[in-house]
Amino acid sequence: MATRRLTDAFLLMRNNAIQNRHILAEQLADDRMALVSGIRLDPEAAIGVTKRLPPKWVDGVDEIQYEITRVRQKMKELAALHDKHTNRPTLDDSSEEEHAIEITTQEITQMFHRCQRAVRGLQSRCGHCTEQEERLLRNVVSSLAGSLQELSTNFRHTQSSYLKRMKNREERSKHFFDSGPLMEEDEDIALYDRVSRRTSSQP
Amino acid sequence: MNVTLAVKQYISKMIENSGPGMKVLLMDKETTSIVSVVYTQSEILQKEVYLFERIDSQSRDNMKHLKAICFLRPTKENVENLIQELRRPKYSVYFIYFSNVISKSEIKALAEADEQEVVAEVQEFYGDFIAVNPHLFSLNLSGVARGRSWEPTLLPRTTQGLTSVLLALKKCPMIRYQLSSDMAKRLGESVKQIITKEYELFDFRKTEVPPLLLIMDRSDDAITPLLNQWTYQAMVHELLGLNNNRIDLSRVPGISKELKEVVLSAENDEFYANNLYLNFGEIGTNIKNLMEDFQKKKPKEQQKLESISDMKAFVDNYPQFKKMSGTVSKHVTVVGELSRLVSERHLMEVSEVEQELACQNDHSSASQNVRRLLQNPRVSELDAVRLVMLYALRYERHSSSILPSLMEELNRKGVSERHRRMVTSMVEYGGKRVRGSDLINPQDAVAITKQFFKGLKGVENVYTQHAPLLQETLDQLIKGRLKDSQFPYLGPSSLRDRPQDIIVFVIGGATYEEALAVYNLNRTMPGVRIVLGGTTIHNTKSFLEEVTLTAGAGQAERVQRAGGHPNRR
Repeated sequence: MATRRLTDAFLLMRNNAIQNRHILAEQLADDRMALVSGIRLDPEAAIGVTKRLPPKWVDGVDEIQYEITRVRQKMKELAALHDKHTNRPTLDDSSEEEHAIEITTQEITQMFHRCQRAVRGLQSRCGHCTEQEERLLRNVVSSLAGSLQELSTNFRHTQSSYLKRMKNREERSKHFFDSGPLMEEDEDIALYDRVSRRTSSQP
Repeated sequence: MNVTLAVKQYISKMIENSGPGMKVLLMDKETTSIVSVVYTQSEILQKEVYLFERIDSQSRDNMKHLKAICFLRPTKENVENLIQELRRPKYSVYFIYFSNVISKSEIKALAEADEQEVVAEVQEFYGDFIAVNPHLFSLNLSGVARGRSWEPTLLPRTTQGLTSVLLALKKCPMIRYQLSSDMAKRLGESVKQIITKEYELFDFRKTEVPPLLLIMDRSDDAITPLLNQWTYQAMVHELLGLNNNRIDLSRVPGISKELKEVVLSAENDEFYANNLYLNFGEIGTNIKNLMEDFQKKKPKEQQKLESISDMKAFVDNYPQFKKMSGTVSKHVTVVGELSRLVSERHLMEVSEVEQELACQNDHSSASQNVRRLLQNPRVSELDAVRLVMLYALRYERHSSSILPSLMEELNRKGVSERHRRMVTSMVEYGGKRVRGSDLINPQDAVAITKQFFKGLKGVENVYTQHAPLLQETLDQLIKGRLKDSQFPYLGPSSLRDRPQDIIVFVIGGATYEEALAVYNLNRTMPGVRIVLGGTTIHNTKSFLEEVTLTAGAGQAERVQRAGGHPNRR
């Protein structure tokens, strides 16, 4: 796609216009005015200082967006932990790993709740809003809510697929133990019990 | 060559250039349409563009916590409004994009107005057209002709739109134009002038075979826009009206609030993307299949799905289906409405006779059928008029033409004088005298069979016999057999090889039927890529209006030349 950049020409012309205005101002100035530099002819013009501060909810938006990035990061960490755990060929208690998975999962769940509360809170922080500010806020809220919704759906999918993978692995190992007289029957059952309890204790 | 992607990329780049932070998109009436057909609200919200305003709206609030992206046509009004805006800026910083070439003096005026120094960027991004489908664009201009000449302000406007397509696609083409159309020649020359003037912009990497711009005139084929359509997108436009990919369903009896305006865009609607070129029967089947698949998951309460009303009941009884399938329930409503109109207006009977008029050669059978339908009180005024127009064009010079008697039938039917006068206008507009091409082929048994099977996608049915003249023209062009005597080159050079990248532009408006023909050619001809565009995309109603506007001026022209006074209407 072809484009043409006119910015340089524009800036040049703008600078010329500024200089011309200064020259004109100097020509019109008397002694008193000459001491005040950079005077603008338009008293209404904002001289680099915004008169009105942005509404309070704007900070809220930045916070939520930051939280969302953190959630994404945590989900990546969790996915790595999941992979590592399900790919381990060992059958011994890797409770450390499981603990880490549980903690991370809980953290993510809490972060989601916080974000959702914050987004709901945004809407009420409007205060004395004009109709346009309200429209703006509505769009922001809708967009943030949409992103959160998508993330939370992803989260649920990864959770259920992890659980499925774990279940499959347990079933396969059960078959392994069933197929040969490697253990006494009692121990067999005890092992299976422990494994199935572990699976069901996942959040 | 994908015009939707080109415009989308322009908008994406605009947004990207402005960096992170909350943004407002400031547009004019036309650029709003341009953006809305390529970007959904939710997509654009994701890029932190949270507000959409018009530059000409007076009552906008100050919001210095927003950056402004301005996307505007380079018009005098827009520049004026922008000057006012820059003097009292409402937003913190301004990134300005014009959809076409803007003059140095206007840039200077803007620079002088930017006392607050809020402008960060000024660029030209050539998205000055409506990208309807990936291979179809429109300029949303109607009434472009006055008699056989351009309406004066619309020639530069059309040139702007067409050259922006070339720039968006990065094509510097050779130009061929329809010799029988003076308007085509003038547009070609106008485009060539711009290419010459902005030679730096058009300095693209040379391809082995240069691209080709083919400029045609609607009047060479007045039959295609008069036909009722049976493929989804074309049918929706004909019966409901598709404007910037939106349908207005607010007047449909019992319509729910959320369906008052429906968006039909292949970009975001998988069902539509798969069905927009299929015919009515196929769409019904596809919806039914989707519903049956869903039902398989719920073995009890199997509902029968034999008719459109069954499907509508299904949608009402299964809110989960609605949520799961998203857009399918929207289509059930649209198809339901189309179905209602088809039976209310007896369109299958009408269309059968239309197709006979457009494709067959049996005058006595055609005469009888047209007369029969005109005498049927349930045939609408619009359909009666289109049948007579088709007859008039098809059997214009026939020795036993029954046109006067058909006009009588129209009168007896109570058709308005305005519509009756349009029949004469139509023959003036697209009759044999003005055509450069062979619209009505001499018929013999072989030609009839050939035309019968020229239908779409191998669907040989009587309602889709017709193939637009454009298809034949492009076929000849691709095979290197399009005659210079019909479509000369503008300028001394010509293509030595067969063309590969072709942009076709129809002055006076293209149709969805022609878009389908182009889609099929793109699919079946390897190495050839065609994009179709027009001053607008017509359905029969808009076409009749176009012809009326053209004819009014034409008549006045001729009467003046004859030394009399133009009629007062």
